[in-house]
Amino acid sequence: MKNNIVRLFVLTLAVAGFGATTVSAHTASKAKISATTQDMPIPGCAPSDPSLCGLH
Amino acid sequence: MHTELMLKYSEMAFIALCLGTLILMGRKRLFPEFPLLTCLLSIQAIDAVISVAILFFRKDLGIEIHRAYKIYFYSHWVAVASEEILQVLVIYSVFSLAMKPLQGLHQIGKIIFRWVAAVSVMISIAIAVGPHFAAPGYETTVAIFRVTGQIQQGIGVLTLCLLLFVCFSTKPLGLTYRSRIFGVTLGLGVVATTTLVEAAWASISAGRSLYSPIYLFGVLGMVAAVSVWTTYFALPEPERKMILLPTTSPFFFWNSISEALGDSPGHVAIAGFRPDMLAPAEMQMLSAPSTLRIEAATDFDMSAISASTLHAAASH
Repeated sequence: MKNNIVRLFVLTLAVAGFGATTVSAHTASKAKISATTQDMPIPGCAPSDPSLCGLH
Repeated sequence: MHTELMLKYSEMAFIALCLGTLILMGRKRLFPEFPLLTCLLSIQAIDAVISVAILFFRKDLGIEIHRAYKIYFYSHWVAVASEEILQVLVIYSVFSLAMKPLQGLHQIGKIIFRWVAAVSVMISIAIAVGPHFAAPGYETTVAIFRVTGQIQQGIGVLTLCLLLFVCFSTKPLGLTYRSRIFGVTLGLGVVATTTLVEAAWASISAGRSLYSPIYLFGVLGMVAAVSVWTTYFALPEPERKMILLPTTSPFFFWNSISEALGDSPGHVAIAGFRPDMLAPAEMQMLSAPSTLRIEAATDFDMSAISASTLHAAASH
């Protein structure tokens, strides 16, 4: 029973991850830049950009 | 609660968890077993400390806003590059640990892993610096975004494949769901899924600030992953099981084939061989058995002749 729960959780993770890849691959063809993400907020604007990505 | 405040507390919780896990790993002497994971956690903790300091305590620290952004920009991108390299190495080390009992498959997996990694990096770079590179308005920042985005997604997919493999091959690998190898892979899987979902979310949302809810989701995913690692490192690990496979098992079969594939081949002279190509010592070695055989045959003939002579004399 416990093993099946672990397997189900792993499968859910995999399906969610692969599904998300499909979405980002579909939108990446339309977007100007591909989405980059990390655990910490990303400074996606150039240092010369006056907006400073909303830093306050 | 406001997103910004939640992000602040989540990042602080993440730093605390990272430090807690590192201390736990130190106490349990797990650094030699998982050195790359230790490096990854340390870099993530340092990156998070800089992030919290710049995003939430900049005024208290008295750093000018433009300078603060520059510090964050360069430190973060260096951390991202290091983390991506370390993530690949962590995946590889976990794969090596998991495949330890099956040396043949480990060997062939290593070759495939290297090829996949090299091709993925090349494709990511090619996509990033492809035809748009010379176009006006295509800045270096955009190129960095594209490269890191592609590599991250590749790493995410690779991690999920490894997780699926370890999860459904625990028996032939001698593991259980309480093994630390599985725990580390599960944590990496949580990170990979979070990253991939976050990337999909980010691709459909326009104009992100540094305090966007997308990042809150990412930090919470990391908190979950580090919690998984902490739990697995805190709990006692069961010993690796004896691996008993049926002779018809594909693991056993492919492992035997892979082991044979790794052997260095012998060489056979097909044509153009002459006896004068051999050294005198080699000639002596090769001719020794035939000389011995001739001598043995001669001895046998002589004894046979003398026996028949004696038999004839006796009968007369």
